[in-house]
Amino acid sequence: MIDGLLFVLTLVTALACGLVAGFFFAFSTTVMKALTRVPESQGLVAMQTINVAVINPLVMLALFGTGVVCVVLAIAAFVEWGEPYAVYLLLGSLVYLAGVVLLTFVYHVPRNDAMAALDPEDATAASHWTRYARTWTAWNHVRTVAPLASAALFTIALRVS
Amino acid sequence: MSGFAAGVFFARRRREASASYVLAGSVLYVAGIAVTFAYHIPKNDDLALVDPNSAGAAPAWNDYQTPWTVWNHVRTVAFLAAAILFAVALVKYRRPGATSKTTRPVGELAGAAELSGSGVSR
Repeated sequence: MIDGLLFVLTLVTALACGLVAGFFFAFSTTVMKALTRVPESQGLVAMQTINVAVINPLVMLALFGTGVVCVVLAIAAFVEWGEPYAVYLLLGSLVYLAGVVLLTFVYHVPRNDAMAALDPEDATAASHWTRYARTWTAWNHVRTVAPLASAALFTIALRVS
Repeated sequence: MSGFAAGVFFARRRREASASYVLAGSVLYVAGIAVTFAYHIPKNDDLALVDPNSAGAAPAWNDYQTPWTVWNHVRTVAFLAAAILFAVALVKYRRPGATSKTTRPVGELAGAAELSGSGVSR
């Protein structure tokens, strides 16, 4: 059994991963569908506003605080290597770091920055927005599934003895 | 669905250490669903009828969004707390036949569970 501080850390991280999965799930299943259903200029402005509003302490803590704890759990997995739970800690951490943190910085952030520069009144803005929304959402599905898998792996780590 | 499953679990295993966590988690989950049905859905239905171009649209939206968000905080916390309780229940749950000082069924012979080879004192 995991015990002490590592237990608490794993439990909190499992829940945080679930929270992050739910956050991206809302975009994949609802927000982007709605924003691509209204006129392009309105969807574009709404998304630009979301990309500004999302940079707030709670969301940053949920997304990247969880990433920091995943690094700690990955190190703990190596320290405790040989324990039945270690492999689940390592896998859960790697899946989160690759599927949320890395993907966000490599894919979503550059595209959000490019979108922020668009003028909604510009003639080409609508086609840019349509293409952005489609590909952004496809990769957002990955950001939904990855933390969900991490949450499952961390939960298994709590349980294996 | 999950509430029903948790209810069945609680009814069958209420003597176990994990049962009270399952019950508490289920109550919080059902509370979150109740808030959705009692508050959010009626408000969403009302908002759906508002014409965005009408004079009353802006005040209707302003009246909608602040309390809607406050009650959404409640749903967020309730479901997260339920998840914590379910996770703790999972950790505390002992498979039938496994040994535990706190969950051995009344009347079971001492040592019988140890012989089953599924001890948890690892």
